[in-house]
Amino acid sequence: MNHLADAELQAWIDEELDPRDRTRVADHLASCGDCRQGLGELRAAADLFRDSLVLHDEGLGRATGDLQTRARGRIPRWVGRAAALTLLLGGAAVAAIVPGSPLRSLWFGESADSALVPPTDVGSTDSSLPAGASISVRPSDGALRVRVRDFPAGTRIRITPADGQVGVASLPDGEANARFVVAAGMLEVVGPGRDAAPASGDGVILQLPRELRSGVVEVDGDIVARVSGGRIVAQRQVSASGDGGVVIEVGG
Amino acid sequence: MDFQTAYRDLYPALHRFAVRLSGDPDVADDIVQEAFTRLIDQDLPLEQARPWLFVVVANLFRDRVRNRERRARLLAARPPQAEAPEAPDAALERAERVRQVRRALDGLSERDRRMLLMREEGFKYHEIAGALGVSPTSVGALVARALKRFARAYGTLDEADEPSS
Repeated sequence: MNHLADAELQAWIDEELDPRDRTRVADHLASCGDCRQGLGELRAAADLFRDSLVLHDEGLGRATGDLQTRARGRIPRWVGRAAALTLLLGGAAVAAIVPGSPLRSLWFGESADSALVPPTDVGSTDSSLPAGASISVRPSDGALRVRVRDFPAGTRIRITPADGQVGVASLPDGEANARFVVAAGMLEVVGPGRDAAPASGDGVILQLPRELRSGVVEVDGDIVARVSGGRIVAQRQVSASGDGGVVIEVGG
Repeated sequence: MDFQTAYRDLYPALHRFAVRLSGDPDVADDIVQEAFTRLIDQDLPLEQARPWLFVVVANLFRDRVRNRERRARLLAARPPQAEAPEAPDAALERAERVRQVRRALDGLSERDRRMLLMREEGFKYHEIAGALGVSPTSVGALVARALKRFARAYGTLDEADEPSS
């Protein structure tokens, strides 16, 4: 059996394979332990690189530039609002973690390679933003579905798909109070505020392309989670876990 | 292209890239500002401005490094500066973390460092290839090799820094 080259494994991780090669690589990985091990090593190296950058950025304290400073400057506005941000990223990986989860039906389904997607990988780092709002993140192998509840007016949540695909947004309630910006490589929603939060609790649903396997979730310019190869790496302190998801404290 | 839109949308990632490339937020401030200043003279749509800015920032940083090296050679005969006062433990720990990461980053070639940092910012292989002047089909192999080099360098640093029993 000819093993897969590192170039193919890396392209698999980075979603750079065309559909035919992707199927071929998936078939091979399903039956080759050596290549799965090689894949794991490359993913571990990529994770190490990413995690080390987080340490680097934290050590320097200004990695996200003025936007991070601006976000910190907003802290007092968050205090006492008990704002909650709930972002749910769903898919087959969470189903693998929490079989029978009631939220499983919310997600979009499973892809052919879902079994190869590792479970949630959450690296806890700092909590520079104040407590009070929370984000729960669900791992996904591809489809990204984000649920936002009760976020304060002016809070800006941006999901940047790494592949530059354009997402679509819908708002079950309070549509007039939210502002969506959809552009190439970026989908952004500016919060309607607590008063405009839908009583149904459905919140704002942002639905990104099923092909999306990597991207960045930012709140007020501060990165709170990265999605890469179907893995979630939280960039804020993980304070709780519910429904198989990961809750990241970000507010005050 | 609306410059304000470009600035708002591209600044955070570009600044992050510059900080990681240089290890110095002040340098990052300068070169990112310079890159945006140069962007004003360009007539680029937003999607082309993004890779253009990253290339400009990388080149500006490279020029800085060269100037710094030239200056270091000129000052080589001078006595070293006195050490800074000892910082609190937390600051020392943070500084040590940064130092470890920077040593591993700086151990990479300039091409590998730029490639991994651009990948981290979500650039596609064809964009990375265009920025670095390599074939798009070679990017996967180059990324894998660079990541392994980084992991080895970082792991070696960890082992080297462990206290001996």
